Amino acid sequence: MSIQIKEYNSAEAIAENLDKQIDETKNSLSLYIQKLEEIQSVAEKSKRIREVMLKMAGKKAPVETLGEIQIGSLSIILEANAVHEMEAIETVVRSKQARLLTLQKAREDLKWLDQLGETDGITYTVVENGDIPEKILLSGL
Amino acid sequence: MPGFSLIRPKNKSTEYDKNIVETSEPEYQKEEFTAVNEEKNDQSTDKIEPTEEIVKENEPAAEIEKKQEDPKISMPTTELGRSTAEEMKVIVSRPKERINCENCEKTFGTPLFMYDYSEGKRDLVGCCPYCSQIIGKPPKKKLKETENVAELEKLTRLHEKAKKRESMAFQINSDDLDELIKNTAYVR
Repeated sequence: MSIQIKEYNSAEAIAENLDKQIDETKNSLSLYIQKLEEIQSVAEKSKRIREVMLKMAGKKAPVETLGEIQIGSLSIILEANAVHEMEAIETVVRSKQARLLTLQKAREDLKWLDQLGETDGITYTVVENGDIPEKILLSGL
Repeated sequence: MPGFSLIRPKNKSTEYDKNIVETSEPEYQKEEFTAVNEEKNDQSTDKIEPTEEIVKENEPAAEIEKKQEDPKISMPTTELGRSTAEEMKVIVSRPKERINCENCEKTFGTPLFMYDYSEGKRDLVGCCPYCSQIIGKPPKKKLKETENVAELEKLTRLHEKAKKRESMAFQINSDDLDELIKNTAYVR
């Protein structure tokens, strides 16, 4: 999450920006969930087939550590399968889900700004953490 | 103490009463309710018992000003409730069941969670990731759409019928009319 400062001319502009962020997050989240649904069914099927095959062969499932290499803070998965992909998408879904709720809460907290009415000449300097307003500096009062 | 009104209960003995007791006045004399005593009693109450108004006047001016200046701004009452992290714990730990959307009739295991403000308060609801329909709520849009479709079909049918009638209508210009008259005369 990057922290940045943005300037707005009105409270409505802040609200509009937040609404836009909410819509974008919601759309991308729904797309990721759809992807997850697809990959989940594939991953479950492959898992079942593997289990059945191992049972038939009378072998135990091998511990999969060889396929993952850690370089610093980065982990590289060789021969990635559906399960790996599913886990990756699940992480994204969780992150997007949390972001959506945070954005909605921020939008709810901004509702009091509607009561200000006309605020010509006032500049809104907003400290945003990952496009989510954290601090609003009103100047030109 | 500022902000408190000092009201002494009537039954409590005052300095004046104490003085009377000290003079060892007999009980029966004290209780005698004569016109003179009545006046005395009235005077005593006036002198000793402070009224609420009097005490309030003694309040510091700053305190009164504070009370008068209390602003009536309707600030939002932020619902502290659960934090996003807590909400996420609830979402992650929910039982994994397959959900069937009533609106688009698609089945999914992971709903899209978001806050719903339609009922005036913040509610965490699960939505369909395909059509954004809130799970557990009856699909209203679909009903409206079907109604609209039926109405549109009716209108198009009526329009087509009207067009047909127009094409069937007898259209004739002045030249044709003259010719027609001539022909009809010949026939006769």
